[in-house]
Order: sequence, then structure tokens, then C-alpha cells
Amino acid sequence: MPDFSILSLPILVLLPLIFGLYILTPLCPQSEVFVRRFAKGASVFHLFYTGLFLAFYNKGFVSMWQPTWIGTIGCKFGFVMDELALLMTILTSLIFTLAIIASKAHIRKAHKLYYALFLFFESTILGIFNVGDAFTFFLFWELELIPAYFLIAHWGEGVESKRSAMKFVLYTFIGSLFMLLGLILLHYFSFLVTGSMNAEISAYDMNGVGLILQVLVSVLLLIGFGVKLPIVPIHSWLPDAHTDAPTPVSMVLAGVLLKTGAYAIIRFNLQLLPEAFKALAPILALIALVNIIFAALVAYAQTDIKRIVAFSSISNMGLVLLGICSINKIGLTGSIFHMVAHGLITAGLFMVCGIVFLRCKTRDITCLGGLAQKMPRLFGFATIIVVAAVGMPLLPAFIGEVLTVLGAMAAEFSVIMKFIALLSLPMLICASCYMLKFLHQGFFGQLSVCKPNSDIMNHEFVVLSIIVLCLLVLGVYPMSIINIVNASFIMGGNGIW
Amino acid sequence: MMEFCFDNLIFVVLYPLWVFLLIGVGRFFAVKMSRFMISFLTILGSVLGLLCSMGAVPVVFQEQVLSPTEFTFIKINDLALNIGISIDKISLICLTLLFLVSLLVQVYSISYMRLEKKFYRFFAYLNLFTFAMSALFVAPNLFQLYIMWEIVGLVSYLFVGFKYTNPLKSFASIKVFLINRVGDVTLLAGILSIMYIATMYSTPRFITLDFSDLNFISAITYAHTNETTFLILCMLFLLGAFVKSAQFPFQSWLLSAMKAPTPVSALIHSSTLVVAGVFLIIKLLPLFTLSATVMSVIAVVGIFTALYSSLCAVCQTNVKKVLAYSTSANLGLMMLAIGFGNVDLAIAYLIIHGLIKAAMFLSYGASNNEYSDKTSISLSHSFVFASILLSGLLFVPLNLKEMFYDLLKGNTIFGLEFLLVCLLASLYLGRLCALYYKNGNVGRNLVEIVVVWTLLFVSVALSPFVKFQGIGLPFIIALIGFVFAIVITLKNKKYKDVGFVYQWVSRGFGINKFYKKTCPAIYYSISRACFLLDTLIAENQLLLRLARFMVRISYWIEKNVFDIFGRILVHFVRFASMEVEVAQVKNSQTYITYGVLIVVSILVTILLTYSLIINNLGGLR
Repeated sequence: MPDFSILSLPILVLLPLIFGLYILTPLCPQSEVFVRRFAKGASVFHLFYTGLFLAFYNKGFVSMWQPTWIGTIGCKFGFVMDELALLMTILTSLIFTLAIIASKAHIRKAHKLYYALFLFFESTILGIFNVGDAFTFFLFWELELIPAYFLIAHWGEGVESKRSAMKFVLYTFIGSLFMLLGLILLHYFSFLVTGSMNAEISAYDMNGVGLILQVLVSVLLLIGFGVKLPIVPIHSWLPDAHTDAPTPVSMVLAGVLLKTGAYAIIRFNLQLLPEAFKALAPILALIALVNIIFAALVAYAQTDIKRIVAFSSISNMGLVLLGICSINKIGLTGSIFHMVAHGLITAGLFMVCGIVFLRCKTRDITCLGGLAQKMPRLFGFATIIVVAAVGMPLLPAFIGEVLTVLGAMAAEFSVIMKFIALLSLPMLICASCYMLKFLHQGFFGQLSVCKPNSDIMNHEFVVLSIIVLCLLVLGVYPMSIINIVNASFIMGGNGIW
Repeated sequence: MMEFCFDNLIFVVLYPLWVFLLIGVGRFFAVKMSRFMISFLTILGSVLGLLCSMGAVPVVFQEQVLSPTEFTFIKINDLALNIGISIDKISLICLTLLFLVSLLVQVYSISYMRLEKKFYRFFAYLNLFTFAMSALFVAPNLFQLYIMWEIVGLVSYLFVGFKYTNPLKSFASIKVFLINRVGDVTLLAGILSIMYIATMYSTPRFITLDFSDLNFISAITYAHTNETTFLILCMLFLLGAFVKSAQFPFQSWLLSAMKAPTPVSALIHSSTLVVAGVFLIIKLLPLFTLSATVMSVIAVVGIFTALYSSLCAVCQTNVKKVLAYSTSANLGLMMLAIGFGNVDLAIAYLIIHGLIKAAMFLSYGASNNEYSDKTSISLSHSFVFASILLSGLLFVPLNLKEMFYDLLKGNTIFGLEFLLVCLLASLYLGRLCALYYKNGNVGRNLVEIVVVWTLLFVSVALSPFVKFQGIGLPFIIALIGFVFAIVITLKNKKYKDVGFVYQWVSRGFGINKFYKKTCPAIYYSISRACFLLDTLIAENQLLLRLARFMVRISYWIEKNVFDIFGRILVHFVRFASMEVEVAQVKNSQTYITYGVLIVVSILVTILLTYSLIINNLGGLR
């Protein structure tokens, strides 16, 4: 029976898709203005709908309506929402709304298809976060590549956007091959242990399976998730894809898509294979450290402002990984907090880059300069967002960083973690280096060749002020998120805190 | 009444933040507040702050410890990080100083910045600073202190880059931010480490970083770390404090910070922000006193900075830079006093130095406004008077320097070095006065002059609180130095043809150049190398290579394994067709037999396969 109560997870996930399909049908008026406003309305509506889930949240949601997909192996289209998924859903919905508002100035062709694909994209990502079934998870994981590919390739801002999109798809796809193998093995081992075919993530049980096999499964899954996160040697799709994508898509890619990787690591590696993860954690933490410092250093050498932001994303996601590796509540809370904080901050930074690119027709930092004279309001927003990005207290990134590092120091299973935690702190210095380069080369000094003709427009003002408002609220009142995470599942009694 | 003042301190601390938000948010929505409104709100905050903090003095000095007001900021299981307000003597003294200087500087700025278009921005930053600094002084725990520590650094950065069209100021602000950031990171590392150690070894586990628990935390930390680790831990804290207080070798940022507007230099870079380091060390004394080595490190760094900065100041002719070096040197003296265990002396010196130095900056600004087109530098009476005060020739500084000398007498090396610092201080101050003093051309604006003299008056009025020590060696040396400097300078006003050594010293023994040239270059080359490595990774495309490799393998298998089957099949078909041709030639009976046989075999195969699948699946179920 379909679940017709007002808070229905399938509806939550599929709502954007339905709106997107409506845009594609001949029923929808052709005019660009209508399509844009419809998409905006749809996403705002979806944001409110997500807000209802937050308001009525009580120990999770499970969809009543779970149609069978592949009955023989126990696959269902089951949707489940817990605290983590709720948080990620809110973030997704918020950033997609902002990105759709921001699309106004950036999208110049094929509006109908663009907004339809964008809403489809939202559906797939919501699916990843809210799914309760391993193979349906895989389905959404792969499905998301389709809109992402077309959005980057067709509406991209770069010269080589098709190539970048293909690179993104290939990387993710190859990663997911390993991931699929991992999922199948997970399924099989769990079948051997429990004796029943059930693909629900929460029903998997790996107790009693040998540690080596667990590690094998864990590593296979990690390759798949690591591409999305991204982990350093397999990260090179990210700068290209983020740079060549149109600004709203960059906001979504950095703000939400990367978080699916971290989310999946928490869901699968940490929750299902805790022993294997504990064995892998020191190595992973080392990789996370490389992520943090290496990407921050690379970011400084970039001249394209979007690439600077893209590398800063890699660096920050390293921090998120470090938090997960600490396997205690403080580290995990910090890591989840940092995901939200970083989602908002990068979305804001990409928005600023996009506005600069629209006005100046270039993203090369050496050609920019003195923008503050012509665009004082953008300068104000950019300063706040940059200050947030370097980890200033009373803004959220600081809390994420402190909690993450504290969590990693408190990790009980390995001494290496303490040193890694302390060594990751110079990230704050590196971050201020590249972020100040971004701000000062772009906005300070005398006007250079590229002269912007106008300050920010109203819709850009709305997007940026919402982001800044969220940042201030989260920074001053971090308990708003920590309370949600605290109520949750993830770890009880592990670690010293 | 006193209780009322005390209870409302929290309001006073938060009020400037509200004004900051009001100005800032209003500006974003293009709501322009009038200059009068902005100034009124700002000054109201400082007046209230001054009244409340002075009113609270009797309360605080009667009771030793007052219970702090705290709010939860972060709470995860046992981890509780609070923000709030807790007042003890030292924080109240600092708070009073802050509000006093803040008030006077704000009044002064209204006049000083009257030609500035970004008036509102300047005052918004001033408010943010007052909030952050007062919240730092009243911090109940290390965590809040750290938060505000970073924010005052941010405000300092924002002020230095206030005129964003100027590339030099832009560069200077980056430098200020980054050098401060280094200190922030070490401080954060220290805080996190001590937090971890305290929690790890205490039963029941508790985590507050409250200053009231600091004795306990320090004892645990000392008990569970060996000598070296403890030293490293303390050094992490000390580095943070040294950077903020512009101690050697980090004082370079203070010189760059002189690019900020002059009122800001008076408020932030001489009397309030830079003493945060001293304040931190005083707050953390329970930790540091456990190790004699740490205390001696503080003392040595203090005296060394004092010497170094004084030497640099003697060779410097830029007034603001001399004042910056002098600030650094005097902070060094405070460190020295702390290192020798005399906290009261350090605090007394902190206050008096803050007042006089602010007055000097303001006096300089009054007669050399950045917005006027006057090129030659001139200094007025007030500056000379302040110089005489600061050299230790009159009133409070005289007595304090005697106390310093008493403290250091026992230690010959420190005593001599201190005397040398006194001599150098009087030398550079005397020289500055002799170089730029112009009697006719004093400040043009009454408000500015009144502010300067108010500050000087307050610093003189404090003299009854300090016992007269008699006239000793520091006074005599300072007097000789001051007179000597004036005489020599008046005789020979040219500084063009000075030696290589002089120039080198005036540039801070090459340290500033090192920061300016070498550090960015090194960092950039490292970053460049990483970028090359990254390009290498990107070009090699690890995953794509793997995929290509897999494709090749499957192609090989396709070609060498499956193709053989294919060929066999082809041969078989060819053979069969030949048979069929033969059959067609023979008769129809054999043809039909062949046909039936083929159909039956296909059916059997299908049935067999299907039943196999069904059975297996059943088994799986």
C-alpha cells in the first residue's frame, strides 16, 4: 500500500523529480520566466516540506510503502530517515534552492531541460541520503551521474566542460564498480551469517566474518566512496568538474555531492564494518592528513578562482574524513558539523566566483583586482564568507575544525591519531593563505583591466544573505546541529568522551 | 548601585556587538545611519562600559572570587564548552582600561575620521573590537578566550586593510593576519592538548577549561607528562602569547600593523590588543609556575625583545614605527616582570604604558592627520610630555622602573640589560622629540587635543596609587640618555649618510626582510611543487589507467579465449552446412530426420536449463 500520510519519504525523495517531469511535458508553458519561477517555487516548496520533517521528527522515519525490486535477493525500494539523513536532506534542499535561485543569471540556453535535470539531480541525491536498502542506494548513486553529466557538459562555463564531465562520470563509475563488488560481497557475507536474503542496510550483520574479509569489503567500498569524497590520489576529477560546471551546479557539487561520500562512509564502513574500519582508521587518517595539507598547498598555487575553491573543498573534506576516522562521538559530530558548514561556505564561495565571472568574464586571479570599489556589497559578503572559510570563531567552520581535531586526539585505538590531529592544525594557516589570496587579489588594490559594471543583483543578494545568515546562526548557536546529532545513533560509549 | 553595575557587565560587553550588527546589517540593506547616530550609539556603549566597570571595582575587590555567568556553547556527552562572563581583579582592571581608552579613541575618531567616506565601517569595526576585547578580558574559560583572541586578530586585520585600494596596506594586512594566525594555531594546539590530557587522566572525567579549575588541570598535566612534553606544551601557549604581544621574533606584524589609521594604532596596537598575550600568560600562571624553565623562558624572551626592539627603535626615524618598536619593548618588560614572578608590577606597567602610548599615538595623529595634505611631520607638547613620562623621568613610570630595577638587582645580567633598555628608551624618545618638535604647529582640533591630555591626565592621576621609590639608577640613566639624545639630534639633524649597520638595524636586523621576501617565496615554491605533483596525478589518472588496463585484459581474453570457441563454432557450422548440402542432394527423409533431431535437442536443452535455474533459485530461497 502506498504511504499517504503527509510526511512520506518516497514523496520527499521523488517530489523534485515529479516537478522536473512536469517541466518537460508540453503542459508546462514554454516561457523561460515561468519555468524558472516554477522551479524556484518547487524547490522552496520542497524546502518547506523538508522543514516539516524536521519539525515532526521523532526517532526516525521509515516509509510504509516498500515495493519489491528484486525479490530473490531481498531488494526493496525502501526509504529510511534518521538524524544524519535528516540533516543532510535539509542541507541538500537548502543548497538546491539557493542554486536554483542563483541559476537566473547563469543559464542562457535550454531552460526547460536545465531545470528539469536540476530537479532530477536533487531527487537522486535525496535518494542517496534517505535510502534504506543497499542496492537501491547503489541505484541512486549511479542515477545521479546522468543529470550531473548533462548539467556539466551542456551548460558548462569552461572550454573543456564536456571532457570534464566525462572525466567525472568515468571516475565515479569506475569507483562504483569496486563499490558494487563490495556491496555484493557484503550482501553475500551477511547472507551467510544471518541466513536470510535482506538488502536493508540496517539488517546487515557482519559479526563472525573474518577480519581480513571485512577489511577487503571495507576497502572495496572505500574506493567507491573515496572517489566522491574525494581522497587524494583519486581526486583529480573534482577540480576539473567544479571549475567547468556552471556556477549553480558547482555550488551543488561542492555543497552536497561531496557529502554523499562522507555520508556513505559513515553509513557503511563505520556502522556496518566497525572492526574493519577501526583497523583501517589510522591509515585513512593519514590519507586524510595528506588531503588536508596537500590540497591546501595546491590551492595556493592556483590562478583560477574556482579552482582555488575546488581545492579548498578537497582540503575540507579531508578534515571530515579525519573526524570520521576518530570513531568517537566528538569527532563524528565535528565531522558532520563540518559537512554542513563546508556545504554552506563552498556554496557561498562558488556563488561569489560566479558573480565575479559574470561581471568580469574571467576567472584568472591575475587579471582581477580592485573589485571592492565597484562592488562593495559583494565585497562585504565575500569577506564574511572568506573569514568563515579560514575558520574564524563564531562562524561554523571553526567549530567543525575544533571538534574534529579534538575527536581525533581523543581516539583511543592509536597513538598516531594524536599526532595526525595536531599536524592537521596548520591547515588553518594554509587555509588563510589561499583564502586571503583569493580575497586580496580579487577585491583589494586598484582596479585592473576587468571592470565590473554593476554590483550584485537582487536574487544574488538573496542567495548570499541566506548563506551568511545561516553561517552566523550556526556559528553562534552550534547546538542547533549538535542537538540533532547528539540525539542520534552513531556511537555510544566509544572513545573517551 | 555597585551590584547593579556588576550585574550589568554582561550587557555592557554585548552592547557593542549589537551596535556592530546594527551598522553592518543596516548597511547591507542600504539603510544609511547618520554619522551622529553611529557615533552616539558607539560612545554610549563605551560610557556605559566605563561606568559599569568602574562601579564594579568595589564589588570585585571585596570578594575574591565571583561566580561566573555561563551559557552552553557546545555540549557533547561530557564535553561542555561554555561562554560567559567571570570577573576577577585583573580582568576588571583590563576592562576598565579598555573602556577608557576605547571611549577616548572613539571621541577622537569622530573628529579624526570626519573626512572618511567609510565612516560607518570604521565605527562598526571599533564596536566589534570593543566587544571582542572585553569578552576576552572577562572570559571564564580558555575556550572563550581563544574565540575572542581570534576575533580581535581579525579586527586588527580588517583595520590594517581598511583602505582597500592601497596595495601596500592590503599586503600589510595579509602579513598581520598570517603571523597572528601562526600564534593562534599554536595556542589552539596547546588548548586542545591540555584539554585532552586533563580529561584523560582525571577521574571522574571532566572537561571544562575554566580558569577556576586551572590549578587542578595544571597539576594533572604536570603529573602525567615528562619534562620535555610539559615544556613543549607550555611553549605552545607561550608562542601564542608571544605572537600576540609582538615578542621576538614575531614583532614584525606590529610594524606592518602601523599602516592602520592612527586612532586604531592607539587603541589596538598599543594599549589593548597587544596586551592580550601578557593577559594570557598571567591567566595561565598556575600552569607555567610549575616549571622554572618556563618562567625563565618568559623572562629571557621579554628582556631580549626589549633590547632588540629598543635597538631597532633607536635607528628608526618613522614615528609610528618607533612607537611600535617601543610598544614591543615595553611588552617585553612586562614579560620580564612576569618571568620574575611579580604580576602586580606587570599589570601596573601594562596600564600606565597603555595610557601613555595611546596618548602618544593620538598626539601624533592630531598633528599629522592622514587626511590632510601636510607632508612634514610635526609633534606637539603633549607628545613631548608623554615621551618624558614614558622614559621614566616623571610620576608613575619613574616609580615603576625603580621597582623593576629593585626586582632585577639580584641578577647582574638582567639588571644591566634593564638599565640598557632604559637608556635606549630615553634615547629614541628624546631623539624623536628633538627631531620633529615644532612649537608653532600643534594640533588643529580642540577635541583631539582634549582627548590626548585627558589620557595623560589620567596616567598622571594614577601616581598616588604607586609608592614613591626614590630616585635611583634607572632615572639617572634615562635622564642622561634623554638629554644626550636631544643635544646630539639638535646638533646634527641629517640622517642621510648613515652607515650600513645603522640601516640594517633600522630594518629590524633583517628579520622583516626575511618575512617579506623569504617566507612567501618558500611557501609559494612548496605550494608550486605540490601543484606539480597534483598535475602529475591528474595526468596519470590513476583510476582511468586502471580501467584502461582492465579493458585491455578483457580484450585479450576476448581475443585469445572466446575467439577460439568462435572459430570452432565456425568450423562446425561450415561442416554442418556441407552435410546439409549433401542431404539436399540425397533425399527428403534424411532431411526431416535431421530437422526433428535438432528441434528436439534444442527443446531438451531449454527445458534442462530452465529446470536447473528453477531448482537453484528454489534452493536459494
